[in-house]
Amino acid sequence: MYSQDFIFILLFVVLGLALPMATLAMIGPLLRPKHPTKEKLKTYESGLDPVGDARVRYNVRYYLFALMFLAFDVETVFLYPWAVEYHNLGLYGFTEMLIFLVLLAIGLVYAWRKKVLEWK
Amino acid sequence: MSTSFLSFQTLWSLMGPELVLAIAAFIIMLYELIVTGDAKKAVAPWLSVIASIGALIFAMSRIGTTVTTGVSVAVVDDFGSIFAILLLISTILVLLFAIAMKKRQSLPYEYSYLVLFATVGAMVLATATDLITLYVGLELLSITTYVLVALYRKSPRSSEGGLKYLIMGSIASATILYGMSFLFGISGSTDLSTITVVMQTSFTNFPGLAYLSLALIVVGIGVKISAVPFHLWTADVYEGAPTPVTAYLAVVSKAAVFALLIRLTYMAFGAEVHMWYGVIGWIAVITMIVGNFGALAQKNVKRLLAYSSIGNAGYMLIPFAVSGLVKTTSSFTQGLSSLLFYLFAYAFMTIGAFAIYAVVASHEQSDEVDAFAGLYKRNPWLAGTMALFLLALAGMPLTGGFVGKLMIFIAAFNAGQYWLGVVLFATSVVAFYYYFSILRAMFMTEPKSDSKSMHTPAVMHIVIVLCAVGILWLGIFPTTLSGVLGNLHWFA
Repeated sequence: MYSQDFIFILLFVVLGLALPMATLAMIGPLLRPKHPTKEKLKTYESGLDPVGDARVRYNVRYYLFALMFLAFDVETVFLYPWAVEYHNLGLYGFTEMLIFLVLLAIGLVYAWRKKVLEWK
Repeated sequence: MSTSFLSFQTLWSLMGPELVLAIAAFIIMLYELIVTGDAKKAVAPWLSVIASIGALIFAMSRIGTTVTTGVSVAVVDDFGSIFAILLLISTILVLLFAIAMKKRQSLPYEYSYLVLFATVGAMVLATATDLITLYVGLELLSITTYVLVALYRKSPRSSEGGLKYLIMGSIASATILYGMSFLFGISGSTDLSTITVVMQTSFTNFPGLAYLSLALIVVGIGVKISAVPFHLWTADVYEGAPTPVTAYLAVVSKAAVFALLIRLTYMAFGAEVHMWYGVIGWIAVITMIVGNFGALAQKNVKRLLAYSSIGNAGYMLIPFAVSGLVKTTSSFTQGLSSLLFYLFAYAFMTIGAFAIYAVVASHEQSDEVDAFAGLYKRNPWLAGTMALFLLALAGMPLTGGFVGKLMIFIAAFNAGQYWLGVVLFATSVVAFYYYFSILRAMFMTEPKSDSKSMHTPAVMHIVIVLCAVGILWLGIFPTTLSGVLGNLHWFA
């Protein structure tokens, strides 16, 4: 049974929950000084005065760009291990990766032709 | 550790028809991007039809051949080949159906390659023997069909259907994946043949994990085949989707997930089938009852056919529940043969019924049963063929629907599960009642308006004739198909 292998994952989950809880909720309030002023309690907006509502409606076009980005972002995730193992994989690996890249390129061409890349 | 690569040659020998279809889909996509104007609308879907016919011939040539390799991705066996043939025939009919849609209701031409990608996913579900490959096939089928359902971008109902299908389908996929993760956890492998060996003993060693995995997989697949109580999305999605896509969901999507259900469940959990077949049997019973009684209340023809497809999923679950019970090869073959025979008949009668519905509904601008009023006087040909498809769905003798139900009935009796056969028979009687409401509208009421005769595109006639011939052929000469099915060596 492989449950022993998963104990480490359980350990990580427990530690991951326990550490921030211990530091932020229990030890932190005891150690840190507390002198709230009006400026300190303001919403943090990169040093500027906060303006407007935080729940802004983004233009739907951002999502199309995000989707395009996602495809090529994942592509790089696959490219890294392939590049490291390039010499072992040889021509076979090269062809495989070429097919993968061509398929993604077709996706890019599709988006281009459908005017996804134009902001208007 | 030596890793065995999946060479291109091995891949071709394992997944030839799928590769033909996938490459064709990419070529059609590029063609559609390069060519501008109306030419692509006319040509691209026909290219898809040609590619599907090519893949169909390829798949037919592989019947009887078995290819297994050291690489655990897929196998070529008769189970996969016969399902590929079923899926490709249905895909060709659906593509012709979509081509024939009237200009006013024509689909965006993206469908011509989206359907091919979905069919590739469906065929992978029937041939793959690795959990990862199976899941990729499932997602390829699912994600493409989410897009297909929402293809009428301007129609709120189409978008609503697409969103509902996206949410329900994603949850179902996640549930199946969670179930698969326990299989991997128990066996330490994603290869189904390894899992089969390990799972022989796992029900006694880790009963909790094994049953949890089985339950998650059955629930997820239950959503996909719209078995009760996981059917609630079906009527809304079927109603909102463009009609050819509805036919695609009802036939190809459902048949492919049945293939996944059979291969995955029998290979992983087949050792203890007598422990869980009862649950599947009860799901089949409530699916038959809810599907057929739910259809009684429907006035909208598309929703009526959606409920009828729920009921049909119930019929098709019966051979799945019983075919592993009696531990003989002949019993197993009989169960699977009855399921495949019914699936072929179901494909013809469902696509045919949806095709005629599409003609009538687009002419009358109405989805209701009333749209069929007096159809016999206005267009006897459409009324006659619709009557044939409906009677076949109800299970009238001399149609493929009757023979399919009879084979399922016999399979249930031979396995000693009389209760399933009795419910099948009883709910089929109920089915006559609601199909009769359309028949009554067609033959016994006067036409609402003296409107001009109905124009049916020539391609639609081809679809209707093919489906009608298929139904009658299966009904009058059932041995041509059942003989082939009986001689198959299902699994490699």
